[in-house]
Amino acid sequence: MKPRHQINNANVVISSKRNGSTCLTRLPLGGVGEVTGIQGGGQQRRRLMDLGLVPGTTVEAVRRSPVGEPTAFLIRGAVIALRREEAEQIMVMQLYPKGGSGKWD
Amino acid sequence: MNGYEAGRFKDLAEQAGKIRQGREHYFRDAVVGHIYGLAEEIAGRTVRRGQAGLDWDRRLDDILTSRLLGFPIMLLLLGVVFWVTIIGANYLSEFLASFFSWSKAHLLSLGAGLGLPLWLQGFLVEGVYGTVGWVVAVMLPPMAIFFPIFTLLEDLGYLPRVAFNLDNFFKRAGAHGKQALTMSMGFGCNAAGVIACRVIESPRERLIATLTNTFVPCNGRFPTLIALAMIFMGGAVAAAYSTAIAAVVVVGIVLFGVVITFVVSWLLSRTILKGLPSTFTLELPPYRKPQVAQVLVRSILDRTIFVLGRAVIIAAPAGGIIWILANISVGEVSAIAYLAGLLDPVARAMGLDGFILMAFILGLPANEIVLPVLIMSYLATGAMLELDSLQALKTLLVDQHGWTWLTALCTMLFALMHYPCGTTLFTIQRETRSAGWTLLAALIPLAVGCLVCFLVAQTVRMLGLV
Amino acid sequence: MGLTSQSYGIWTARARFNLPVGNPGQYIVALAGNPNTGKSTVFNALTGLRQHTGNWPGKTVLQARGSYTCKGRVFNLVDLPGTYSLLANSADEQVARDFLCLARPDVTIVVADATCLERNLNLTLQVTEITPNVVLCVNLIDEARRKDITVDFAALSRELGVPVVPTAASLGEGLKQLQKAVFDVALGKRVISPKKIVYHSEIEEAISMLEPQLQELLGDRINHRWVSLRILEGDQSMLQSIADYLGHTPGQSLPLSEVPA
Repeated sequence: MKPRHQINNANVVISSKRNGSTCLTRLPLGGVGEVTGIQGGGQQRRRLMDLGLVPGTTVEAVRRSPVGEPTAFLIRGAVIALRREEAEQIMVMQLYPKGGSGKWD
Repeated sequence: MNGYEAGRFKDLAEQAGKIRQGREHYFRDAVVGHIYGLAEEIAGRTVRRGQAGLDWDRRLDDILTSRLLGFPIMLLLLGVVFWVTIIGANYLSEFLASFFSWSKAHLLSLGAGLGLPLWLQGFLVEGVYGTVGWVVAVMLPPMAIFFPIFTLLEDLGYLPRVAFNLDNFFKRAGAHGKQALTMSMGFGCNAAGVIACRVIESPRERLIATLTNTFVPCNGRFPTLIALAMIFMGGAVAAAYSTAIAAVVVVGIVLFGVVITFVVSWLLSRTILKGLPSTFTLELPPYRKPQVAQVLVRSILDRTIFVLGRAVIIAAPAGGIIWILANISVGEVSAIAYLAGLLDPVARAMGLDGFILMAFILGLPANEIVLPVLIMSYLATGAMLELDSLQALKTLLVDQHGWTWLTALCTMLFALMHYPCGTTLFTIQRETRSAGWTLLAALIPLAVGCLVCFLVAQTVRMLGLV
Repeated sequence: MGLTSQSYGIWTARARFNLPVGNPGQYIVALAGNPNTGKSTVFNALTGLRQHTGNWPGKTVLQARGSYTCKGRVFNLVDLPGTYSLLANSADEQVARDFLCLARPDVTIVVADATCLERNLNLTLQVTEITPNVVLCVNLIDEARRKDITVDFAALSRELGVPVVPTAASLGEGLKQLQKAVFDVALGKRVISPKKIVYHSEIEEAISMLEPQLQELLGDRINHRWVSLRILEGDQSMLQSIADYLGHTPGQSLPLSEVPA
């Protein structure tokens, strides 16, 4: 996962691999994760937060488009499709299934 | 605002900046997080979810967006919609065509009885009334049937699934994901599709969507596609399959239009409309039960009134003009034949003929008058023919004017890819506020259409297939 | 101080939105809500306009207008674009925010989806931050029934501090009650006190530093707490919008560019 943006030194919860969180793209279908933070800035970040992807929110990967992407996620009661570039910015702690992380094929 | 106020605002902004101390996201994150937290708490205390039964939404989506079935179902759905449209439209068209034939004869005798000069009779009845009759008989039924079905699909919530399935293609073509939705709107009416492009915020991607919207055949063009498909492709097989085959052909044409949309979008985003793709939110809302009866009634009424209105405003004058052109002589031939003759060499190269090209040119105001205008101009130059059925239309085209399946195919392709209709161009001008882009919006499809028809015609002829 | 813009009343702001101004007995009602909540259905049902509604996220309906009469008063309905929030990420959100903030409708109806209330409450809470005259219309209760979801409307009303009206707009249910609630709020027959949203201390302190200055600058025309929050976040567009509507030449940019966002 290549870091795309400068991570600022603000008091925002930034996840790291040490905390056991990965980016949303690695959540397998049917998997559930808890948002730990959003990387990057600007309008995309604000937009994603406005959709409810604030730290502590649970996200479920519901389905994938027939051609591979986007992937639809259940976020606070609504099913929203995110492209890979967006999902990559969202860090989650995988709650289910325990252990392994799926691959975005 | 005076300088004092502006200064105060600037002070405030600076103050806020100081408070933030460079913690770019801190306050925003805190506010958003707090409100969502509150929402969650309140919902937790006031909403109770019972035993969720079968989650129909999920199950339906599992099928509609699945790897295996997602795309085939989309195509099938499109095919079924066309098939239903064709069948329903056939019955209605036959009925209306006979009615207009009958009423025309009566009007003529009425005119004669009133002692109207022959030219006036011809102008009013053959020209104006005849063309309006054709628009109503041939163009109205498919439009009045397709639109309500499409509206039902829309109300049901299917269209976001289409956007979901196709999003990757749009991404690769450098276009915005919502273009799937604006294209869907274009099915109804390209002008509406262009207005729908407002949902795309980035000007670059909005332009791409606007310029390519016409590659999706609008309601006004479907009847042409359907009629020709029925006659030429459907007519070539056993009657039992003719409707199905015609539906398949129309689906094929539409698919081709979609492919062209992707190709042209891709080209545009690599050349004159370069830039980065922007983000957007695609929600897959739950399916809703549409108010079937209400939608059907309102939609059919809407469409009928709309088409009739346009028929009167546009088709009537057009019919009048055709009649005049057909009855004025330039040298030894009628003006119409003369003009058609001028266009003929270019047209033939594209697999069309002069009359067809001229009908498209005269059809600039509204696409649904192209076929009627063509019919009128053929009739005006050939033997008298009572056009009261599709069979008669076939006789007119094939026997009297030498159409082959290639002519039909090229006509359909050109119908798919030529400049947008007058209303759409006007809308594009209003939305883009640029004569330059409007001109391009007309020239790009025209160029693509001419090129494709040319290639198809030459290839088919070279291969000796016709 | 001689601030000439003090003389611009709410009427001027409304006039800039092309709204009927100054007629007694005529009220402006804004319709806000997430996309896909059946907001357009509510709009059509109230105004009787035959507009097509599609279950289609992101369909932009720019300022659709209509009106209805209730007990002799005319209510002018303005259908705002469907948005997930008012924090101005997109043109839609800016339009909605500017309208609520600057044109200050007499009543704002927030249409929510009963099957998805939590997400809809986000916008609802934001709206109550801007204006107290809110009626929450919980729509699609027929769908909620189908999915076995029950909402305690009375409790919701208590929690939020605003009237809550359940409706199933496509079936015509609840519309009379909605009209009555709007009527009561518009004519002041019902006192609304939306629950104030209190942030943590650092934010509240910051607000208290900025709010008085905004009060002095803008008077009572605009909700200063809301604007302070937005300025604190670094939202330049909010300041620009205020500037535009206070008589500043639209498009002329404020000298804010040097201020770090």
